[in-house]
Amino acid sequence: MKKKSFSIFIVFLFIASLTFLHQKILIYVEAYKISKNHRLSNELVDKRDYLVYNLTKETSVQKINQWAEKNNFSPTEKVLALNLRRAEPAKPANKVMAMFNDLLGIPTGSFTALAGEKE
Amino acid sequence: MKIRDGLRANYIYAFFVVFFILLFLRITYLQVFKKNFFQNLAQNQYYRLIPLSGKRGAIFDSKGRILATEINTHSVFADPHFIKDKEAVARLLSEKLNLPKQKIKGRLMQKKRFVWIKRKIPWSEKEKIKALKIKGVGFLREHKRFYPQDKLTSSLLGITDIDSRGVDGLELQYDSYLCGKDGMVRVLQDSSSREVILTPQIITPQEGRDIVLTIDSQLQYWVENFLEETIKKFSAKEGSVIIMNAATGEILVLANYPNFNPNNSKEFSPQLMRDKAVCDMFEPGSVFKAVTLIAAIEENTFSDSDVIFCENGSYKIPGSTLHDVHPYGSLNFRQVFEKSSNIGVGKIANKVGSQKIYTYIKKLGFGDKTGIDLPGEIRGNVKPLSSWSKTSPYMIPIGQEVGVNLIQLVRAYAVIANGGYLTKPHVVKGIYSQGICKETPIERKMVISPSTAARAKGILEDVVKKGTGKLADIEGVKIGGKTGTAQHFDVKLKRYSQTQYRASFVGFISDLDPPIVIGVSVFEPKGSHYGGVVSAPLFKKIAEKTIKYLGGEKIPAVAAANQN
Repeated sequence: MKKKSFSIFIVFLFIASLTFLHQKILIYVEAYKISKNHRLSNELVDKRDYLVYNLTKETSVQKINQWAEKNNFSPTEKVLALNLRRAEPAKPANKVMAMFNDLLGIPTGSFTALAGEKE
Repeated sequence: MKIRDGLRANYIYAFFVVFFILLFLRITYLQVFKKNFFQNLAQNQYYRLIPLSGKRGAIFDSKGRILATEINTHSVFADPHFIKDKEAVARLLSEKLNLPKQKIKGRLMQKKRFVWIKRKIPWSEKEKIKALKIKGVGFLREHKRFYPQDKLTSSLLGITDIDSRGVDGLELQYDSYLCGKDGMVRVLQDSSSREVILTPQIITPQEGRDIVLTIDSQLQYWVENFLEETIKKFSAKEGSVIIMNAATGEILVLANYPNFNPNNSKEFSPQLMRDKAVCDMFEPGSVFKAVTLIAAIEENTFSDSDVIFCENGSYKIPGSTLHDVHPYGSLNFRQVFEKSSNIGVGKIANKVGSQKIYTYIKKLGFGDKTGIDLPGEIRGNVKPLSSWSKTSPYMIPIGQEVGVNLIQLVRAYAVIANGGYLTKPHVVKGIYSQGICKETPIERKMVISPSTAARAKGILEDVVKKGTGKLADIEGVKIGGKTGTAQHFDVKLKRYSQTQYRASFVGFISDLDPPIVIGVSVFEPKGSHYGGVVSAPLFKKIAEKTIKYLGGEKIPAVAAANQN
């Protein structure tokens, strides 16, 4: 009887150890999964940052202004005449820009409206 | 047979019992008595500390455009211990990283477990190297400072070093606010050197604070372009422009040319990176005559109609002779400043008195730092009254024998434009941290009476309408200012250079609310060296853009013109 209960105890101990080990392994499996996801997330963050970096670079004040100057487009400055002379409205360089300006109601007269140097 | 079987079972049973007891004892010994020893051994072997760098704060302009930020990059490192064919690895890395093969090989030959191959490479380069799957080559994530606007505001922003610490400009001045606090994470490392996130212990990194500037990068862009055009047109050596809100001291534009790209700062000399508008001292020439103008008005020494005889262009003073560019006979007080007569101003200053002139020089902030929040500001050079020579009472009022910087001149003209207040110029509007903003307080003190400022303003407006500053005039807009042409003092020859000049124009747009002060300074222009010819047209171009951009429709004449 004594021997039997001891055997049951040993078997129980073995099963308990096995369960403990199994749980420990499961924890490690989960940890590996998290680590893998973390790596993937980092890679995605890197890709996103790279895209943001390119976007920021391509939409810098300099680039926007260079594009605006090339296309005769006035994105930021207010359209304002500084003298009493009425100037001929400046025609945008291409038809697409002209259409774009018409659609948005952007006046184009500011480029030549500044006062000439006082004599 | 039964007995033998029973005996055998007992032996096996006893064997297992003894085995498990021994195993238990051994485990107890290792787990209890040797716990600390093995724990340390395992931790050193399996745990790794990964530094987490605290992201440096970003810098924005007044409209929220990014001027400086941090981007994630990767640095390539190697563990030479794992690399067997060092020659082949060096060749591969050299091709992908654009580095000399010998340099990489030299690093791989070192008897170290960690060597840098290349720091802060872009993501695309990292992917190429990662695809090679070289054992012993790894990557560490790092932050890199990135200036999306390239050259724009470069001398103002300054630069950071490889470890993202500020070394110049605003990056240096506000380094303690911008730089974050590094953190650390301890992760498990398996036999393949893979990091496993298992009960990580983290010291959270702290991000640096964001800074918002008073600078408007759109205006800055136009100004930098105009400045570059002028420098190239007159084949000048360098130039600077400052635009300041006269009421608050907020700097809207601070431009220097030549400038540099802070993203490739290694390619440029420190000389080029210097903020010339704040760190360079020069003799101001006629723009300094505003001091005498203010002193004479405030002390009530002259009325507008008082006549000063200008000696037809040549006037002997103790120790020297004063000359005018154009000879003048009798001019009234206003005309002396309109025509910028050296002799006239010298005589006015003499009547006001050296003591008072010196007082007003100091009152307007010359000879002292303005307190602008930028590093390397120079004090200028204003001799104490006791050190004035025989010529000083005539020379200092016309802007010689005195050293100033552009920001001091702009601040002094702001006193006239804002009704008598000496403001503290600043480029940082506020410092942001986790939604809390610490705004820069506006500091100003009254140094002259509003009536004096108004009278001086009127005279300086006439300088632009009728006098030497005509080329800065914009029809329908009230603009005041003063031209300045100063010979450069050659330190080697110990005399004034006949070829090196500084052409300046400092003025204000009175019609804007708040008034705006613009200071322009061009060094060593060729062809013409007069402030009225070189700097006044540049001032005009900048003023036109500024008026259009900052709401010039409120100016009555302009509003009327737009209604018609």
